[in-house]
Amino acid sequence: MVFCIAKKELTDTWRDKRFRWVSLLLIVLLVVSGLVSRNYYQRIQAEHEEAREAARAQWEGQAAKNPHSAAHFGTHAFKPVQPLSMIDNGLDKYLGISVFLEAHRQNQAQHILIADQNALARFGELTPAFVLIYLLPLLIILVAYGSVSGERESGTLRLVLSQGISKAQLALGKIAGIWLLVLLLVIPIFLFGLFFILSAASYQTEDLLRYGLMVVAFLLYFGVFVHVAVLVSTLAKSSNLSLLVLLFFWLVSAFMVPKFTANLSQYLHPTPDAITYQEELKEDLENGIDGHDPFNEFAKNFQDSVLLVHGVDSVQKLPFNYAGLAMQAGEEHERKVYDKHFNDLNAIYVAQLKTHEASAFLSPTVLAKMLSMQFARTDLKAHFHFARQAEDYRINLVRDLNYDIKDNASYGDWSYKVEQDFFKNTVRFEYKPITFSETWRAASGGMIFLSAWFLISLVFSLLAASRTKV
Amino acid sequence: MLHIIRFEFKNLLASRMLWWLAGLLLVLIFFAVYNGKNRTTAQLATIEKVSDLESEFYNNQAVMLDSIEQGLIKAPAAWQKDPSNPLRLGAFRGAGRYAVLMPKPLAVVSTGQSDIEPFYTRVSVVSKNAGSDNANFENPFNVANGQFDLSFVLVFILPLLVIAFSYNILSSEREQGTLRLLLSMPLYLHRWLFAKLVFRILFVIATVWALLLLAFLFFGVAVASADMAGLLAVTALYILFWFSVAYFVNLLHYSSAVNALMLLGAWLLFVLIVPSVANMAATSIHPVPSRVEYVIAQRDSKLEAEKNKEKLLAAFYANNLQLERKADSEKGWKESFRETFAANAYSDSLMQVVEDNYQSRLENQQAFANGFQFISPAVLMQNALNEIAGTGTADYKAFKQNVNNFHEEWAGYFMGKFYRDENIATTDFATFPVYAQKVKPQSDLLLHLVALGIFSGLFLGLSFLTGNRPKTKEPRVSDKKPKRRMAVAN
Repeated sequence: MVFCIAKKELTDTWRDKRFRWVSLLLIVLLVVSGLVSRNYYQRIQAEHEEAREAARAQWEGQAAKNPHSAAHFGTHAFKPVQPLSMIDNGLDKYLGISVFLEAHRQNQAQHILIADQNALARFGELTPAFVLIYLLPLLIILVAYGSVSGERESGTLRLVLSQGISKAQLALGKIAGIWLLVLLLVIPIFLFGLFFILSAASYQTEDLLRYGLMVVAFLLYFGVFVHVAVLVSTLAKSSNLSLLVLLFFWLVSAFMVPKFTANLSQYLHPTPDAITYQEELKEDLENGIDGHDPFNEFAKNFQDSVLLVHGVDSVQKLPFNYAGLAMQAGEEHERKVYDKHFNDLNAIYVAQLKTHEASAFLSPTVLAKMLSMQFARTDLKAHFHFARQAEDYRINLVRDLNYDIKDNASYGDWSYKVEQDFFKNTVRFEYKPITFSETWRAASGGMIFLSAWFLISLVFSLLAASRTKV
Repeated sequence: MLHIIRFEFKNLLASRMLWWLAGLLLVLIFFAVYNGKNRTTAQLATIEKVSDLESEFYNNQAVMLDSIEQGLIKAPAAWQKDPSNPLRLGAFRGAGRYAVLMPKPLAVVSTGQSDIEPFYTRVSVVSKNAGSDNANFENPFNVANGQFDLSFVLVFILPLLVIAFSYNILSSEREQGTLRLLLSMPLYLHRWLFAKLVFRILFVIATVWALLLLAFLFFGVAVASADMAGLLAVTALYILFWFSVAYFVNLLHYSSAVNALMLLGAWLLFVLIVPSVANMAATSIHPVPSRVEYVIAQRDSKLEAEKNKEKLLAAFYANNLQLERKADSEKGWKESFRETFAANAYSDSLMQVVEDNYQSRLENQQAFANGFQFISPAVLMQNALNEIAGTGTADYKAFKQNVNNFHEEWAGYFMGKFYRDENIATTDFATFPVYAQKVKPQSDLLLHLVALGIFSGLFLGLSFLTGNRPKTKEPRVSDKKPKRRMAVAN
């Protein structure tokens, strides 16, 4: 019986011209956005690949010079683009594309792409995720707002119930019918998306797992809207009221809650202003973190310990160039300060994101957005993962340079120059993308929350149906 | 006509929906202005902070120099700390003036680009780059979602309220059965409908203006500014546009429910779909120049400069025969710096070529993308509000130009002194270059107002072309099948 109702729902909606037009529009938008995103991804990927090679060539092609000069000359680490950014490019345009790696400084990623565009870009980018998260729920609302209330208004509700099904079964049938419709629409789209990813140059198997989870998250999200639509349709006095309430829900969920929480999260967890940040950083670099182990004290203690280990009383007597060792030790000591401030700032961002997650009890859209970004590796955590690896590489590269001074230059001789081929043998930056288990640690909470939305909305819609007056 | 207005007025005041919507709008506007005010206050606090830092530094130096000149203390041995050294006051750590972009009086209206562009930067001989050191840390997720500011309420939410007011302006009369009564009277239906519309337009505009003024006064925003007139005008025209769309849809003689759906579709189209499609079109047809290539090109310039350093230094000394080229071990700090500055100037000139190339291509792309604003009134409105608030792309572009100009002036002054081997005296402090906003951003407000007016005119024009057959019966049915899910008019 439930299946009968589902089939009727499907047939009726399929015949509705509005549904056809809107779903056609959505399909067109999805296909176009997919193609454009793929083109963009392939172009950017090629650019980044070229840039990585060019940067390495520039590094290796340096004239013979003192390694410490090379450390100041520095090099760049370019952030790789992820294949799933074709579906959801998340925060990629809001975060820097490259990090400048040099001695004595930990830099932040530069060149935020959104700043190169004008206000039109702030209206949102047409990616497949945008269409699925913002526009598909509207289609669901359009289809489902009158599912029960329309039956009530046209008098057919009593007729259907008189056939001998319970009200809850009727609601379930409606839900099933709308689900079939949604699946009919999105399954080909998701298969198409899979084909996109397979045709992209550099996907890993893990990307397919991530894509699968993105699909699951989207389906849960659509489910929430299906259940809520039937719920509201059951409770509303008229179809018009049902539509109004559902649209209000969509508006609140998609726009008002995320923007409200943006301001709220900044209020609850304020970020430092740049001046304060720089001042505190400078102070900690000189005087040590919280005044412990200031730099000159550290340098002296380090020197003493090295002299002790080698059993000599002055640095000139050491079997290697002390300057190289000392510079590396200093670099790693300073790094701790930079890392502390970086991690503190990151902690504030994470707290702000947790505020957004908490706001999801009003807005499933926030959950869908965050999960989609996390699985696509285009969220904040993935960016910081890259920034940390770039920093580790910086220390390793500078170590190669400093230890060359330690091993091959004599103490006090700053005119020491390396051979031409030296730079070819320095370490390369091999970026390992954020693993699935790391993503899952952050995403599991969101998935559970979204599943809770799914189940609770289902339960409520069935409950409301069983108690509704006919 | 007066009857109609009086009746409409009473009708509206009695309508509960009106009070709910007005209340909602009040809450939203107040919240939005509150957020904007917080943002602006934080900016002003930062500006005061950097201004204090700057004056503290220069006051200390002036005091120290004064004591030295009067013979009270000796000049410091370290040349880096000597306050008469032009490089100490113009180039080294701590030196430099802060160029700030003061928030305009109505900055609360729109966050615009202020969450991704820096609004202050330290300018010294060696630095003028706002981007790298002055990022005010904004969570990228918040930037991507956007802030709950007044422009969000006006661009996104206000049209929905206008639609709520006007979706059934004609269809409700038909559905309530009063249309027959009206038509039985000797009045021009269209004049009556138009009067009803005009009244509602003026009512909504007056309400929104009143709420804006109330919120501004409550939060202490400067209302007596020229920008205020612009804000009121652009709000009025935006409201007019949405009313004209509603009028047009009503004159197609569908039912209220269908009207509502069509108007919501129009809202989605103009506010959500068209802007994102336009953005996609703009960046596909005319892609933004690649920053990645830019970074590589800059590095190539640096490498080039490094390779030619020896040649450059030789040329430098050849052009300045009065200077003697000493060996590295005998160079004093002045000689070292002269060489460093010469090398930097050469390197900078090469990098400037890359920069200029990039900027001109970027400007072309932005000019192209800017043209797309004319296909959506929502984008026009957003751009107009950004301009009124002083947070638009043009404002920050002008700021960058002013910073560049100031940098040239500052470097010219201090480097001039350095090259002429002149020291700074306390009397010079008053002549240090001061930042001034000489380049003003280009104003497109009039253009936006006209474009919004044209949009409204378009829909009003369309309305006059259609809807000449008022139907008193059920809503027009476009095909033979009965429409499902519609509330059947009884």
